[in-house]
Amino acid sequence: MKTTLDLPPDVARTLRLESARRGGRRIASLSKLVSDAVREVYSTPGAKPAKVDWVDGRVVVKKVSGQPEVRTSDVQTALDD
Amino acid sequence: MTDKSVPFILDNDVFFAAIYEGHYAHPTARSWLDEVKPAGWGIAMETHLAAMRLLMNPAILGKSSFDGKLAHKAVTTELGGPYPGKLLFSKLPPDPDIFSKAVGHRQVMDFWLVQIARDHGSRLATSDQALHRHWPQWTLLVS
Repeated sequence: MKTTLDLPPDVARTLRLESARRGGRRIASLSKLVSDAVREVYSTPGAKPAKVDWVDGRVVVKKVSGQPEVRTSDVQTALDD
Repeated sequence: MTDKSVPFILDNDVFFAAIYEGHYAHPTARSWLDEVKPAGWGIAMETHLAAMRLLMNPAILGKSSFDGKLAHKAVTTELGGPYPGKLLFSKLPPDPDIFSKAVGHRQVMDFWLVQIARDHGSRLATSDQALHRHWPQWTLLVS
């Protein structure tokens, strides 16, 4: 996907320095550095779905630890996406 | 078109609250649904899909969100059991008598669920007080 990112100066400087440290833009382009960073922070290959109490006619998806409590407004916002 | 075996259908929020422990209204929604199931209950097709969307949404379940297969299984398992829920859909178009009263885009799906409840002789179980005030004859407040 081609896109335009509006990066704050300190982030842009960090990316330029990291690119230079790795040997320059041919080896470590800004796109590659951003992609690597996003994969490292936001991807969790070992992530497992929430636990579920499976009873026929009565399902309870267990609360995901670390996730904030869901409110009605969160449901509305998610469904408006 | 009435279906006396379905006195209540659940709106998206109440149904999701019943099946997700991390929803603040889970204890209320779960115990209410368990109590009314023997008398008959159901959800609209749209609510089935909404629950799947919520279970698959990282904004709701974070990194523990479901894939489509698991989300479908969760909803269909809730609909099964000794008191199975009916899956309802409308064969009628949106009723202008209902939708002419909508003033915001977020009301459209709520009003549609109200119409489905009405058309099946049911009441829509909701925690939305404003919706209940708007359509007291076709809604039931769960809170």
